Amino acid sequence: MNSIECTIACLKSSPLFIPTILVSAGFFISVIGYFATKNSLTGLRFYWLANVFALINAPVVFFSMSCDMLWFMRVYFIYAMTAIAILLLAPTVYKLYLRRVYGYARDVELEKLVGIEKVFVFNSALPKAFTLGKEVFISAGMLDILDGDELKAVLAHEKFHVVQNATPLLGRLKVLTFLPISPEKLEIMADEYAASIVGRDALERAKKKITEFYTTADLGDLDYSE
Amino acid sequence: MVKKERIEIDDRISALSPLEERIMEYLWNHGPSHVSKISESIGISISSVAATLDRLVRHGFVERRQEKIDGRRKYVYYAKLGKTDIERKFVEGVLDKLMSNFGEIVAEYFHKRGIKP
Repeated sequence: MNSIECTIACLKSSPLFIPTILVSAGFFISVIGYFATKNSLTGLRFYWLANVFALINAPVVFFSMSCDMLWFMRVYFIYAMTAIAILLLAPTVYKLYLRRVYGYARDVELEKLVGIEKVFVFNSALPKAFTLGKEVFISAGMLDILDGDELKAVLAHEKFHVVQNATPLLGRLKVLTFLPISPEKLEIMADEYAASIVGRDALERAKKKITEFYTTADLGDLDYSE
Repeated sequence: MVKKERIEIDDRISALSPLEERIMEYLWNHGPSHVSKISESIGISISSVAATLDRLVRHGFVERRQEKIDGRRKYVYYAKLGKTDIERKFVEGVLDKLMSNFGEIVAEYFHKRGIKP
């Protein structure tokens, strides 16, 4: 009997056989929902649900493997623990770095713009915006180049990431379940969300401004001595 | 990471890099200015100017001030230190480093030149 046959035999004789089937079915339905929906927020929820099922499946399979503890399950658990530890620490470490190098301040006015709980403006002339956990960081340079509705588009894009991160464990589950969702796909979903709030026009204008900022080249005069 | 001291000794010993110097010169001569204005005036891309300004702000040579025009935020940059201040800071930094590493030799050198350190 090879290890795959053994796994199947093991599952069939296990009292956890039915739960495994149920969880797997839930997983497949969620994946189908994720690909079927056009609304990016609903898509995100389906994706999250698929992750939850996949994650529940791991311990279920793990405990039903009492007759043949597959080595990859052990490796997986070590990987899972390490990944969670790193992912829990990463935002905190990055925030400390930001505070040291740039410094940032909370901005209530920007928080009200699209309804984000916490928005920080950090001291950089380069236009940048990103989300750490549920907190959105936007640079002075970004505020500098964008007009009202363009700024709103950027904040709405980041709000999508806040929702994505606020959906319990979504960002973290991603690395545990190896589900195929690329960061590019999430960015597209965030753009779709932003476009649905402020309109495609404002979003495109904002993106164009940011791209132009970084692509205007000056040959031979670049100065990055640090 | 943030550099504590600005000591880079190469062929051209100077307190500022060429682009840093052009930006500082512009701010000293024209007063507080906007990133896009600086970029246009000295003919350097806005991204290079912005990255360099970040560095100058970090070193405390330049400061950023926020302005509100029609509810839209604009940032104005102004020189916090004069040319002499920056040069003095730089030279003192180099000499401090030399003193702490080669104290005897430096003292001897100043003695020979008839200068008391």
